[in-house]
Amino acid sequence: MRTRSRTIIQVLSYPPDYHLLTPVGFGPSQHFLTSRPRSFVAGVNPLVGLYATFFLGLITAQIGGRPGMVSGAAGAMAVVARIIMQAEGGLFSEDKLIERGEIATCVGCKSLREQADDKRTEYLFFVMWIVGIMQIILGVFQFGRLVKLIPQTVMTGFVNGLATIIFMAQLESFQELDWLKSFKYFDTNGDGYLTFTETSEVFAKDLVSLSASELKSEVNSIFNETDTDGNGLIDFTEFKHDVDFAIHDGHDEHKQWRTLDQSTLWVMLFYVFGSMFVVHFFPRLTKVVPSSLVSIISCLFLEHVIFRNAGIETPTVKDMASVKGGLPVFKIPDIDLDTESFLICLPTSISLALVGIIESVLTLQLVDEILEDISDSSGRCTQECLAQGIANLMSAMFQSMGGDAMIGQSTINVKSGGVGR
Amino acid sequence: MGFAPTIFSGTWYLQEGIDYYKNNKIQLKNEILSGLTVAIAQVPESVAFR
Repeated sequence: MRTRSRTIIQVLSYPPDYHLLTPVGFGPSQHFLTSRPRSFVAGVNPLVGLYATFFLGLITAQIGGRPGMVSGAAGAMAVVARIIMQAEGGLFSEDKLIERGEIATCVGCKSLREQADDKRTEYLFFVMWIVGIMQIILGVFQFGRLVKLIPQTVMTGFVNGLATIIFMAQLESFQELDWLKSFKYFDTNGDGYLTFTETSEVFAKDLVSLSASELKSEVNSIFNETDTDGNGLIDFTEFKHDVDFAIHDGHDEHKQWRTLDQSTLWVMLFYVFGSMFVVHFFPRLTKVVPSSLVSIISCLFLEHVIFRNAGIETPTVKDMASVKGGLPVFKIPDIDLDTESFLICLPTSISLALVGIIESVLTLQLVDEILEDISDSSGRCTQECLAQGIANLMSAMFQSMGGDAMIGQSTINVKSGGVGR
Repeated sequence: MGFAPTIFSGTWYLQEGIDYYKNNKIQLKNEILSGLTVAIAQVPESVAFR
């Protein structure tokens, strides 16, 4: 039974998470592909994820149930947390927040869309408070031991489902912004130029709180930034010149698949399969350096020394998001806490707490099997639950989203020789 | 119960760790390189929640 379970878990978790997907992310400047599954949670400041990885990683590494395991802002949690952050169809849509009186239009306020985004993020932190407390309680009652009672087929399905979601989400990395579609969103008369009026009409929908003069001032500043030739019209070239221009704020979400005639696509594929090749075959040459690290360094070298100098650039973390920011600070979630909001959050909190614990305990068992550790893991499972709960609670206190143990990263770590605290 | 020792287990744990890595320098190198690999890989993992 033990041999069988090992085979199933490893077979299912390795191909998508390790051999195929992880090397993809080992692209040049950490080409964000491993991270794609987490992008389901659209709208969260990138720093929120970084803070979570810091808290989860540090705390669970110190007091977790298994040295060598890696925790952070994990995809499994992100998939569940998505329902909180979804603008449409989520738990806290703009309409629901208005109905609850949590956001409103007013002079000098942010747009309703931005207010709703901020409020959803606050609710995410609140949910993580509940998740942390739940996981600690589950740890105290030794829930981790019960995970062993879950049938192997369910476990297999859990890992398999996760792997499938991760794989599908990775495909998103082979998409790019559809600038033309975004441009046409503004260019209502289709003449190929954006006038002041056309731009004002779009922003008037989002910035309903602004007076006519404030809106004019806002659109003026957008034109000053984007209309580089100063002719009072924004053409397509000016429009797509810089992704950070304010004109793109929330209006550049149209994506299209990269096409085979793009050299960037071929370079990305080269990194994907090249990384897989290195990770798989390099250990046959030497095990002095982890093959994953060799893969990262090789791709970095190829990208920044060769391909970029040849004018071929692939997307990097910088293109995804800025990670500039300060240290996290303690903050109580800014929400109207009442029975209704608590009950709205409760089912998602329960799901997150269980998903976090199941993936963590599953990862613990997987690492045990890789390292052929046959000692009783009951106590360590309990310890891991407590560590995850404390880490998630701390994480939420400091305005970061939660996470859990990461199967792929843990596998890389122990296979690269990281087996201690 | 079979709990894993942590930094809160006492000074013996710290001392044992130091002694272990003093005598296993290759393992120390492996731990550092492995940590570096995972740390780099965690950056894109984390920021993609946006």
